[in-house]
Amino acid sequence: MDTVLAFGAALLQAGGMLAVAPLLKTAIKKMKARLQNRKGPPLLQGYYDLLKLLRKELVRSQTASWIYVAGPRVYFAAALAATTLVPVLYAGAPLEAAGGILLLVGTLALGRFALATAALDTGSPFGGMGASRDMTIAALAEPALMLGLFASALAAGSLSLGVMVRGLLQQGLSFHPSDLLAFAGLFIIVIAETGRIPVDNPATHLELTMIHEAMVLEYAGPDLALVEWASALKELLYLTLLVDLFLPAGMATSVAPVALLVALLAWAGKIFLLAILVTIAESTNAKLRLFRVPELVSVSLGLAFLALAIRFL
Amino acid sequence: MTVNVLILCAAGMLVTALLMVGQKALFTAIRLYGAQSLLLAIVAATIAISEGRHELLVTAVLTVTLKAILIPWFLMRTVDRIGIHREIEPFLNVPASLLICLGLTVIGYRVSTGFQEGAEGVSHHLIGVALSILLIGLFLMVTRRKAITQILALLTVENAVFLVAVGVTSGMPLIVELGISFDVILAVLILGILVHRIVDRFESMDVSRLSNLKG
Amino acid sequence: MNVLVWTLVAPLVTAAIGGLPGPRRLKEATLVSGLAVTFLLCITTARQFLEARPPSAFADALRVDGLSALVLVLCGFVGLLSGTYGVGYLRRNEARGLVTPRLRREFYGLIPAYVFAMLLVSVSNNLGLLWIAVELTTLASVFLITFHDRDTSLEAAWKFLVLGSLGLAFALLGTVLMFAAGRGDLGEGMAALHWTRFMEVAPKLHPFTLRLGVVFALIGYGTKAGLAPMHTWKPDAYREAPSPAVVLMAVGMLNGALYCVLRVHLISKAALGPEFSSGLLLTLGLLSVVIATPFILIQWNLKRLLAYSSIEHVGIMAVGVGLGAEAGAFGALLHMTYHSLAKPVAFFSAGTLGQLHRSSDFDRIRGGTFSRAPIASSLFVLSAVIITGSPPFGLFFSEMTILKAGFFGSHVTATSVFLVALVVLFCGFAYQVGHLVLGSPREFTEDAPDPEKFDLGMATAVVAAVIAVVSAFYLPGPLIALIRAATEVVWGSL
Repeated sequence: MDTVLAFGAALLQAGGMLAVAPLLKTAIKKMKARLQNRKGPPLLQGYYDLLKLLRKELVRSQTASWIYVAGPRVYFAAALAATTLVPVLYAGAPLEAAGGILLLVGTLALGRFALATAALDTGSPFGGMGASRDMTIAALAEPALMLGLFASALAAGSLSLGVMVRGLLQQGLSFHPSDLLAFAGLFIIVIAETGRIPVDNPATHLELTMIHEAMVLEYAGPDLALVEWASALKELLYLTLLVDLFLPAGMATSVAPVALLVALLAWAGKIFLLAILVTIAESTNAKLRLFRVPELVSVSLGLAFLALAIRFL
Repeated sequence: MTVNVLILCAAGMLVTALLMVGQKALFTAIRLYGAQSLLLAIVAATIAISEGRHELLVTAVLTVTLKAILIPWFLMRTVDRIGIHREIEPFLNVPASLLICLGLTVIGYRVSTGFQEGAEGVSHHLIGVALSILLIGLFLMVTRRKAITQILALLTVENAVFLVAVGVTSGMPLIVELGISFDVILAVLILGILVHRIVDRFESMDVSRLSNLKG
Repeated sequence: MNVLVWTLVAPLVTAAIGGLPGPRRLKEATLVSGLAVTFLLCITTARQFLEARPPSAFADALRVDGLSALVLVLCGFVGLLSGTYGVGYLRRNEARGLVTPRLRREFYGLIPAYVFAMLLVSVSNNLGLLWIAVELTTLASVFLITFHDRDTSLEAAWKFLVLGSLGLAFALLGTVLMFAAGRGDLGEGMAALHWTRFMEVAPKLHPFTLRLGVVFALIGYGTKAGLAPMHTWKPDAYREAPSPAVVLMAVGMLNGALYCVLRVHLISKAALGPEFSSGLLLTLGLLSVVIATPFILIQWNLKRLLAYSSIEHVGIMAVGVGLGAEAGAFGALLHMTYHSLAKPVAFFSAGTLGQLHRSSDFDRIRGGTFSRAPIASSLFVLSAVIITGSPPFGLFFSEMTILKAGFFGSHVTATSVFLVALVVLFCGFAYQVGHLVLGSPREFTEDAPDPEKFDLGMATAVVAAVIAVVSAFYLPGPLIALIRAATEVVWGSL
């Protein structure tokens, strides 16, 4: 019975996140445009783009193997699966019995690995270049991500996100310097993992400057739709993670509809605030040269490590 | 509530200090210093309100005006006039610098456990952050080449001392604080004048070129 | 009004007048008379102290005890000498057309300002005020260092200000921590930072915090005094600043910074027992003397040579206090007195030689200066003999006292190292001076040095030399009383 409920909740959560993800992406685009004194795309543009891609003709590289086909699907599946491990409205993840932080990071890493390998599979120089660049950043970003998550895990005494959130809700509003350090570090990682300025420009297709885009250059139509959707989903996921670890106030501790509604409003508000923060970070910084990106990520690594160390001191 | 604000501001100061280490652009470094001073003023104001020490409010206002607004404006104007905006490669690259600063932060926190306020509580964090920022400021001073960054490092050290003063002693007598602030402003002004002269003479802010006098 | 306040007002007024535009003669007269009045007021203040009416002002924020009185008198003395020599120095530069009205205003304004700040240091009872006064001396002297406006001047000024400010930041942290160590017991308001208050509640101060504070304060004020390893700004600053300013730095500020170090040391002694800060002072002093030695041997500039000599002397004084015996403390204070009486001669004569040759670098001056500038060279040799501690001059006796205190106390190894360093220093100095002064006169193909003239600067140097020599055999009674009173403060205040 419990497992059925859990799977049902997981489906609901995954579906909901999937539905909201393109909205977030467009919202950030619109805010950036507003800051640049433009009007920006309409808020539903994300959905329109996905629909357009889904209806396009499927063009596949002749020289690629099944890995090329599997890439976007595994990436999408991984992102979707990851959403079931993260508490969103309720103070607990639907499938939290399956695993905690490590499983989350591992799933996302699996998706990234699949996409990178698929990029290599096409044999095009852009694909190889994009894959290598992305992996370089990931090599630094992932330890930083884990350290930042471990800092919170240490405070809660468990690696499960649900336990962490419940613990924080019980504790009430009380801060530790390690929280701010971890937040700063993780925020930089979020920027890096979602491929935003100053790490990567999501709108560029110039050979010298693209990282994520280079990996997905060979995809078209429904394949591309899957990749785009999954990226948007990952973005929403990371922001939700930040909300969970640092601002969990307002999450529902029971399944009462009122509580869930309140939690939905709270979550939407917090995601919006974080989106503003991301927009500001993107708009006030210039894109870093590729060789400078490890420096930025090492700053984040340092902050995360400190967050961990200070808990002991 | 007070405790949370204090801890958040102190942690924020530490974050700005660490970001300064990873920073290459001079303008951002100056802005980070301004943010740090603002957080310091908020700490002072919070303690002033919570402990009813009204002279500390004066100090807080002074800190905001002088260190968060005036000095950054003066430094940015100096950098503008000189026209050099980026730090050249410091003596130590960023990841190594960060590693060392991490170590320094750990040391700062360890030392702070010896104080009489005990190993817990807000004071522990305030002193720990202050000592860490002090050590990071010292490190910046030793490893940076641009004159302006050295001034910023010096000012960071002053901020750290001020944080210790506010966090541990709830502020020193007002007249003393005024005198100290006045002195700091004068020192920054004179440093600014010297930087101008150095750039006029040497066509660069690289103080590692000031190495003719040896022995 | 209080004579103490007048003592501080006098140089301030002189500085204000000097900073305004005006005719040269008037300025020269103002400077000399202003500093003379200051010196007289210092003597009056000290006399009042000796008559058991210790002056104090501003609710004891300014206070004169034995140590303050001694330092006050010495600083006033060197201020007057520096002012008189300064007039002569500037006249020589004016003759060569090197002095703009702005530079003149800076000089006549900053020298008395510097004297004011030094005097403020020596009478501050409030630790916060003490810090502010030391910072004022730093700020006053920066533009004196850039006086000649050379490339190297900028470098020296930058190092001086940055290292000085860093040292003062440390000293501030030390002061804050010391204040924190006595949180509940010190009370409120200005009086909480008074040194006398600290001495009263010394046993109740929190040990860890105080220890940390003392370390930072000693390092900070030690930077200003020029103790190794925080001495690196000294040689550059001494070379670049004009000689009258250097005299103030080398004697006045050295005494002032040492005064701060001693005040901190006394608090530490009262609260933590003598071993902690005495050990620190002994280490720093020994390090200074040992480090100064090789640099004197390989030196290339006259004023830098004297800078290292100054580092050596402050090291000797620190060792004297750090040995932890009454004789050591007495020796250190005696050393301070004799040093203040004898060092000006060295800087005056070296400064004259430098001005005549238009540079103080050895390769400009070297070779038979005796023939070109007999008076200045003989004065320099005389001063070199005195400051390296040869008998029968005063510095020999003070060094002997310190050595005795060391050997008969428990620090035999340290004292032996100290002795060896002193001997090597003497030899090195003798070598350098000999090279400079003796030998066949050099032929100058271009840019020949100016001929020597017996002007105001030279006259001041001769007077200073006479005072230095006479003091070897006779010290005025009140001065001896002051030294005794100061020793009592440094040693016997428990």
